[in-house]
Formats: sequence, C-alpha cells, structure tokens
Amino acid sequence: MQNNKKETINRRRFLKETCFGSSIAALAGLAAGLWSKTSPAKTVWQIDPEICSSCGNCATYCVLEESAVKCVHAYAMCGYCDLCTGYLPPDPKDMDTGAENELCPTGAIIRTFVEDPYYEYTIDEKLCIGCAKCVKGCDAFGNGSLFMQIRHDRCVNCNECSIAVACPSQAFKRVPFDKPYILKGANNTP
Amino acid sequence: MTNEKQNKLSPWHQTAVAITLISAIVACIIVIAISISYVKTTIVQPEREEQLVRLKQIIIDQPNNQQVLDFLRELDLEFRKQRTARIEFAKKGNLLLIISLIAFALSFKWASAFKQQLPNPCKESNDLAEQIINASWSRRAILAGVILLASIAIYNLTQPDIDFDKASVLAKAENENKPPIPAFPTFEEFNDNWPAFRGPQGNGVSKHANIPTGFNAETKEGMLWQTNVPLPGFNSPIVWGEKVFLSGATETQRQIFCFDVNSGELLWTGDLSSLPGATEPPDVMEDTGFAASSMTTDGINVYAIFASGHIGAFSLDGKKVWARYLGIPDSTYGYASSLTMYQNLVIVQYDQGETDDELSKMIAINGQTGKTAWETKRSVANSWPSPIVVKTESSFQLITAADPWVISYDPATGKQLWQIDCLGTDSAPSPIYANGLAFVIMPYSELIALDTNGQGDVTETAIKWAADEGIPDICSPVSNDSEVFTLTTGGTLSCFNFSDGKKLWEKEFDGEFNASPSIAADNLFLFSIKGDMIVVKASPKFEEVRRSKINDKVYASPAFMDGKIFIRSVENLYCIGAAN
Amino acid sequence: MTARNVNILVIALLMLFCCSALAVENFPPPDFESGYTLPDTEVPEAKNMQHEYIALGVLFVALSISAYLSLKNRNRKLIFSLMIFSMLYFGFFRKGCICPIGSIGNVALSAFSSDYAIPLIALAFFLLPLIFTVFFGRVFCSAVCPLGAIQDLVLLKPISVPSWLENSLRILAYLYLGLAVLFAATGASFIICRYDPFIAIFRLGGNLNIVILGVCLLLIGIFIGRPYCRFLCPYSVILRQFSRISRKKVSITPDDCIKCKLCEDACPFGAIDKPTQPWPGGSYIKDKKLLAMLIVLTPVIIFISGWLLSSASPPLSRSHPTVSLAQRIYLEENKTFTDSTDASDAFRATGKTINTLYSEASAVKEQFTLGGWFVGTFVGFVIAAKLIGSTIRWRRTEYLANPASCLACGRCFKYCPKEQVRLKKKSSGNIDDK
Repeated sequence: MQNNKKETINRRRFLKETCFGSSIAALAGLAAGLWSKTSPAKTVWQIDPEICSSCGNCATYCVLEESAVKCVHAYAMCGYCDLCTGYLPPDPKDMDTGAENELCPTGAIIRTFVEDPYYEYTIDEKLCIGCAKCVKGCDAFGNGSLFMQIRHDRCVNCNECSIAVACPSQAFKRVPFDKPYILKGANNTP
Repeated sequence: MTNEKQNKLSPWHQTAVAITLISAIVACIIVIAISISYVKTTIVQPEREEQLVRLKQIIIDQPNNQQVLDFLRELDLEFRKQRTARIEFAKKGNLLLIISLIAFALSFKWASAFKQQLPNPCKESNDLAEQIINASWSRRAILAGVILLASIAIYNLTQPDIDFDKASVLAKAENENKPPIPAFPTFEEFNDNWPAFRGPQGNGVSKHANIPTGFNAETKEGMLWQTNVPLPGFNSPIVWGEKVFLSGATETQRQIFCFDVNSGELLWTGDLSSLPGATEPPDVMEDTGFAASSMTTDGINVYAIFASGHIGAFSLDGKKVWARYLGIPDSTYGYASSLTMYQNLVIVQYDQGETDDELSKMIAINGQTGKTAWETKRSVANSWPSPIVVKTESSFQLITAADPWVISYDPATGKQLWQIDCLGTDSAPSPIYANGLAFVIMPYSELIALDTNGQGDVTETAIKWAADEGIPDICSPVSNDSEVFTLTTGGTLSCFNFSDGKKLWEKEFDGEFNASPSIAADNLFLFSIKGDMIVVKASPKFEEVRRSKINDKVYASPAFMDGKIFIRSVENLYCIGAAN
Repeated sequence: MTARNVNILVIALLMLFCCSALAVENFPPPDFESGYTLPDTEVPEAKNMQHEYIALGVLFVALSISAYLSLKNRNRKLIFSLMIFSMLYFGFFRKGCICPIGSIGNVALSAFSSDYAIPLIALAFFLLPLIFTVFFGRVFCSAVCPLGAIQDLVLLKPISVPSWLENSLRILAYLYLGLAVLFAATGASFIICRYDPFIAIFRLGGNLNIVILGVCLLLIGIFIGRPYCRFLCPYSVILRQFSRISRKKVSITPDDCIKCKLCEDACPFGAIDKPTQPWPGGSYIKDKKLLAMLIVLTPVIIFISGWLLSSASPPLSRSHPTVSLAQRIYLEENKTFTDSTDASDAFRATGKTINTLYSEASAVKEQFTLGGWFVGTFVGFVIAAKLIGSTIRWRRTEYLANPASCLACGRCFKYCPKEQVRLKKKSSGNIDDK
C-alpha cells in the first residue's frame, strides 16, 4: 500500500516534470521559430499616397477623437496656383478666403500671397480633420501635391489600425519605425 | 452586530460612503453632459453641414445675394467653433468621467470593506449531490452550446456562395470572345464627324454629298439657325454627333462653347480663364487674336488651346477633366496652330522662337489624363500651320509644316519618319494629304507636292513638283484627288493638275479671303472676309455654281456635316442647311 | 484581328512607358522672383523606440512583483495596488497597445505569412507572461493585465456562477482563440484587437459599438467577476494550460488545509475546488459507461466540428478584404449591384484584372477552408475533453485553488485561519525583534 502510493506520487511527479519540460521546450521552440522572422524595430502604420483614393474614411474611422491622419503638403510639387482646386470648390464665386470659397470644411488650409500670381497653401494641422476633400480636388486638376499621411505625433499605433480596416483602396501599410512617412515628390528633392 | 455599529460610527467609513456618493453623482452629471453633447454632434452638426452645402450652392447660383452670404459665413464660423469646442469637451469630459468612476469604484470597495460579513461555514450543503448535478448540467450545457453553434454553421451552409474559380474561368472566356474596347473612337468614327480644323483628315474635304450650295440671309431660306458666340475668336467650329464646339478668348478670358447642332442653343460654357500661368497676356496681332487655334475632340472629351499657352479638356457634357499650362509661346503674330487627334492623343504643334532657339516641339497629350504621352523637339522657327494626322498607304503619319522643315512623325510614338527642307519664314498654310501626296505651301512663292513614303531627310528625292503662280500666304490648299486648288488672300483661285502641277485655270474674285477653301460634293466652297460664300465646281474647267452672302465677317474655315455647313464669324455661328 | 490587338497593346505599352518617363506636373512649380524659399514638409517623429523598451521593462518588473506578492508576500492590498498601477500604465498611459492578448495576432500572422516580420517587442510581450506563468501561475492576470485590472476594479457585488455554466461558457474562449488565429494567419484581421472591449475606455474614445460593448461588460462585471477573462479571453486559454503545470502555485492556505470551509465562498471567480466526496456505487458504473461512450465518440465529435468550421469558411472568408472586394466586384459584374463602392472604384483604378482578384480571393478561401479544419478540430477536441472531464472524478481531500482558473488575485488569503495565524506571528515576531 505504502509502496503503491509512493509509486503513484512518483508517476505524478514524473508526468508533471514531463509537462513542465515540454511546455518550456514549446515556448523556446516558438521563440526560436519566430526569431528569424522578427524585426528588431517596431513598425508603424502609414498611408501610401500613390494608392490612397481620398475617400474620407480617415476622418471618421480613427480611434482618436481627432484623426491622426492629416493632409500634408509637398511644397516642391505645388504649382502655387491662384485657382487652387484643393483650396477652392469647383466653380468658386471668387478666388479669395471667404467661407463660401473654401473647400475645407474646417478652414484648415491657409492661403498666403507670395508674389503675383502665386499663393502658398499651408495646412493648419490643429484644424485638419483628415477628410481628404482638398486631396481629391488637388489630385483631380492640380499637381497632386496635397496628400494624406498619418502623423506620428498623434498616432497611438494600434496593433491593428482601424482606418486600415476601413480603407477601400488598402493603402495602409506597416512601415519601419525609422522611415515612418511616405512622402510624395520626396525622391525629386535631394 | 456590535462590530457593524462600531464601523458605522467610524469617521473613515463615513468618509468612504461620502466619497462614493459624491463620485457617483459627479459621474452621473458627466454622463448626462456627454450624452447631450453626443446627441448634439450626431444630429445638429450634420444638419448644419448639409445646410452649409446648400447655402454654398445658393451662392453659386446667386453670387450677389449678400444676405445669404453673410448668413453662410456666420453659420460656417459657428460650425467650426462648435466642432473645436466639442472635441475639447469630449477630451476633458471623458477623462473626468473615468477619474470619477475609478474614484467611485475604489471608495465603494473601501466603504464595503467596513461591513464585510464573515463567511458562514455552517450552512447546510450536500456536496456529493451538487457534484453529480454539476457534472450532468455541464454536459447538457455543452451539448446545448454545441447545437447552437452547429445550427449557426449549418445555416451558413445554406447561404449562396460565389465560386471565384468558376467566375474567373467565365470572365476569362468572356474576355477572349470580346475584343478589347479601345479608349478612343475608330478611324471611321472620326471620319463620320468633323473633329478638328478642316475635318477629320485636316484636308478640307467633306464626305457628304448633300451639302447645300447656297442660302438667302434676308429671307433666312436655307439657314437653320444663327446664334451669338459670347467671346471672339478666329478658330473653326468642330462637330461631334449632335454638338458643335468652338472657343473664344480675350486678354483675360478663355472659354469653350458647346452648341446644339439642331437648335444652335448654347448648351454649356467651359471656362479656362482663371488658370495659373503667365502674368501678362501674350503679344498677338489683331488678325490672330487669343483664340485662333481650332479645338479637337475624340468623342470623349473636347480639347482647346489658347494663344496664352493654356490647354484644357472638358467632357462632352461640360465637366472639366484637366487643364495645363505649356508656357507662353514665343510667336511673332500669336500662336495659331490648331489641335488634332490621333486615337486618344491630343497633338500640339508648339512651334516658337527662332530655328536655333530649340524651343519648338511636338507634344502628344493623353486625352483622358492630361499627361504627356510623348514630346519631340524640332529645329524650326515659330510657324502657324496646323498638323494633320493622315492614313497613308502603309501607316498613320503626323505631317507638320514649319519654317524650314516639313516633318512627318509616327503619331503613336513621336518618332520622326521623314523631313524635307523646303519652306521659309512666316509659314501659315497647313499641309494637306491627298491620294498619296502631301501638299505644302511656301507663302507667295511655291505650292509643293511631296511623296510621303521616304525615310529620313528626303529633301533631294521627295519633291514631285512645285508650282509658283497664284500661291497664297494664309489659306491652305484643297484637293479632290485630280486637281489641287489654292486661294490667295487677294481672291485669286487657281487650279493645278494633280499629277504634274500644270496650272489649268485661274479666276479672280473680289474681296479678301482668310478662310481656306473646302470641297464638298464636287463643289469648292470659298468664304470671303466680307461674308460672301462662293460655290464653284471643283473641276478642270471653271464654273461658278452660286453666290450667297451673310452680313458678317468670316475668317474661319467652315465645318461640314450631313446636309449642314457651320460658319463661324467673329461674333456669330451660322448653320446652313435645308429644313426638314 | 489579333495583329491589330497586338498593335494596340504595343502602342498602349509604349504610351504607358512614355507616361511614366515624362510624368510632368500639370502646372510646373513656379520660379519665384521675390526670394521665396520652399518650406519643408513637416514630419513629426514617431514615439521613440525607448518607450517600447521601457514598457517591456515595466512588464518584466510588474510580473516579478506580482509573482512575489501572490506567492511569497500574500498581500491582497499590494496586489490590488499593483493592479491599479498596471491599469493606469498599460491601459491609460500606453493606450492599451501592445498587449500580450493582442500579440497573439502578430504571432499567428508572422508564423503563417512570409511577408510579415513580427516586431521584437510584440514577440516579447507574447512570451514573457507565458514564461512567468510556467513558473509562477497566472501572475499576469492577477495584477499586470490592464483588461483584467479594470474588470477587477468594477467587481463590487460578486455573485457566483454555477460551475457547470462557467465550464461550458469557457468553450467560447477556445473558439475565440481558434478564430483569432485563423483570421490573423490568413491576413484577414486581428479580431482580438478589433473587438478589444476596453480599448475605447483606455483611449477615452473610439468606435461607439466598442464603447457600448466595453460598458456592457463592465456593468456585468459589477456582479460577475471578470467576465472577459473567464469566458472570452483567448490568451487566458493559453495561460490556463501553462498554469496547470506551473512550478509554483498560489495556495489558499500558507500551511495545511484544515477544511474549515471558511474560504468556500471567498473566490468570486469560482476557482476554489472543494474536497470531493467518495463516489456512490450506482453513479460510478453509470459514469464509467458514459466515459467509454464519450471516448468512442471523441473522433466523431472532432470530425463533425472540423467539418462544420471548414464549411463555414465562405462567410468567414468574407472578412478578408480581398474576398469581400472580389465578392463586390463579382456582384457588380453580374449586375446585382448597379452602383459601385469606394473599394470597387479604387480596385478598378489600379488596372488589376478581375481574374487576378478572383484567383487571389479563391486562394484566400482555400486557406480559410483548410484553417477551418484545424480550428474545428481544436474546438471539437476541447468539447470532447470537457465532456469526458465531466464524467471523471478527481480525488481531492482539501480546499485547493484550481490551478487553471486561479487568477492569483489573493482574495482568499485572509479567509484562511492559518493565514491569520501566520500574519499574527509575523507581526508579533516583528514586535519581538524590536
């Protein structure tokens, strides 16, 4: 009886040890298996502006109250047009900064006179909601110098970006942490 | 019991209860505030946004309604303020709510710790029965859950599903049976319309036999309609289907007009005035104006270029598709070459400066995208002829005349096919192609017949013949494949034999002529600046058919369609034809 | 005809080439005369990598402290304080990302997809709590997991859930884990992250449905302790298995159990196993018969479950963007829909052929069918094991914390009279020292 009990205990201990050892081995195996696939740096989300179809989802699908996606301006590509189709609606009444002549619903684009007949357009990121209305306008008739980018000072870098899930053109990518932006016209400038 | 009483009196317990109550009340208030704000933003803000869109539309329709404008601006400001305020509120409100809820939970726990009841180990229980019941219930619950999940899965099985493999095979088969739809009209479709200056081939010949030979401007007999063109221009009308297009421009304005073929009603106006570009208007002669270049179309979009170097595309129903600025052309009299089409490419002959300036180029622009398809530099000086795309025996050729080179290109790629050094300064008449030969004019001096089958520099070999009498300086030639006709600005109409250039006859008319002669139904149509339309037989013997007159100034070559002639004067557009 | 087609193709290709070679802006950027210089496009940097390493360090330290507190120090108040800290740091400060639960998705995707490299941090977050669990039990759940912490915080009026219900509801977690791995491995989505119920609370805002889901779970959590942890959390499924065999386990009593029954109702998570009674004769035979039958039925259960899930692949695969796009395009091509969506417009603008899309979608569907077999087999195995488990009586002679279910929260410690003795000894010992 005593022996029998001892044997049972021994068997149990052996079983336990085996399970313990095998689970440690499993974890080590998993770690080793994935080791070759790890990237030392983290990845962040970014929009590929060449694929983006400026649908406007960025304004509404971000987990943040204020979307982390904002309009960005590649100045080197801009034509500095007086009639800016990113700033003004189609058939504008006048070419000025009146509320009725602004395409942007929040007035986040600042139009400044540079020299005749050129105007500079800057984005006020505090106001921009990422609706991409200006991007659509600029792409349609202009040089396409306005485009959408995730601003990493705002982005909380969700494991799965909820705008990426809702993006119709699947323009969201995971990019390496040290190259967090895909800028338009970046290869044109040294 | 006594313990509990003691605790109730404990000041810490009272504090805990008080904090619990206060944080609960605070949380409730914040929840209400957030809910109100949320309802506001989901109901009121979108309504406002819609109202703003409506107001903006009203402003476009009534640009001078100051009342609406003021209201719109006020509403817009209010809308923006609300949005910023709401985001601020939401940020702070949510944080406060979370803090108060955490405080509530912590203080509740603290408070309840004071009156925790001791466990009661003496309660009656039948552990064995409980275990057995648990086991059997456990099985039942698992079974019920499994049945529930399985029924969901089975329900899904009954739903229709798409077999993409099959769909892919079907789509492939369909694709193989169907020829690809080209993104441009066929050669035949081009020929059925009048899509460019002097018609589909740019040679001023209409394929229709039922072109009227005259009209009476006073009785309006033979005149279908007449309509005002809002902006001046010397360009010729073009026709596609049921629509006539022409452009007009002043120093500051550039517009495209679309008229209905049957009624002459102005269907839409396309505006290219406020495009970025040069700050000063180009130097042009009064005789050239700002809109001398004729438009072109591929039946999908219409394209127009102006003396300022602005080129734009509108869809046939008037939506702007793209616009570009090619840079102000350096042209002595003002840019005047017309556009032409090859498949989906808009061909621009952009000759400017002097021969050595290397400024001149041919540009082919993709009609749908507005992007340059190809661009070829050429060593020619500023010239005014229009390019033509013709179908020779072997291929399509883009033939251009300029000072001093006549150059032919492959219109698809811009590759140079052949070139001939035979022209001089102030080249204006456009080349034509007829029955295997191209004809170009050196103003006042020579009409030259060229063979188009060469390769490279064919100056020595390609010239078939040249005639030197009765040579115009502006009007382009026209040919019916057996004779070639020229018309000088002074009114001398000459007829040359097609094969050897022998002059067959010549006839002088009164008046000045800028519009090029055209051929329709074996008749030659001449239009003088004063408004005379002279119709003569296109034959080896001179024979006048009829004369008609409109009291208007005609500079532009007319467009011919089925039974109709479209004549553009500086300010009006006329449609000649028999009423049905 | 074919010759012409080829010609058109050649021309189109040539034009395409020319287009890309000459991509000229519509309106060339001006040459400014007023000395204006082009501003630079601002690119605010992403949060520094150091933050990630700090978080990893905090995770390690928190796990160590948690293990010490629940196994050695046995102090519920300190465990609770650490839990509040974890909620504030991992939840509110780090906005809930990345967490070990969500990292299941990253691990599954990198294991099955060739073009996804898992960030080292994500892998570390996945492995670290597992390693701690193998040695010390579920110390991650007790005081480190922010999701657990927020539920533990709101547990104000616990009521007990019958063990049979708890036992069967737990199948949901296994199913959830299986589906999460399937969805992540096929590249459809990280459903754990997408339906993380408390993430919106940690971020102080987000998708309304998720907010509602989180609030509902917290309201339930006032009465039913940690509902997400017990019935849904896919990571808990893995932790449970490791915790079963862990080196050290939380014990209710610091000494020998005296079966005083005082701790019987102490656990709000139903993780205290009572001592068992001897088996009544009649029931024993019945249960052994049932057991035999279930063992025979096990392969059948596993097969049916596998078949069901694999044949549910069409609706499951529709969550994959490629398949849903292909479906939309198919229905548009067949004129079921006359309008187009943003997604179908964007697809058509890419110039990719429909056939390519169809074959991609078809491949994804096959993956789902195959994956469905694996997940179904797994879930079927779990169901069979649970059924078999209900017929077996483990012999227990004392009150024990169930090694799988125990969350190491330390609530039961103070119920044990032996613990009270230990504490008194400790304090008196301290006094003696002085």
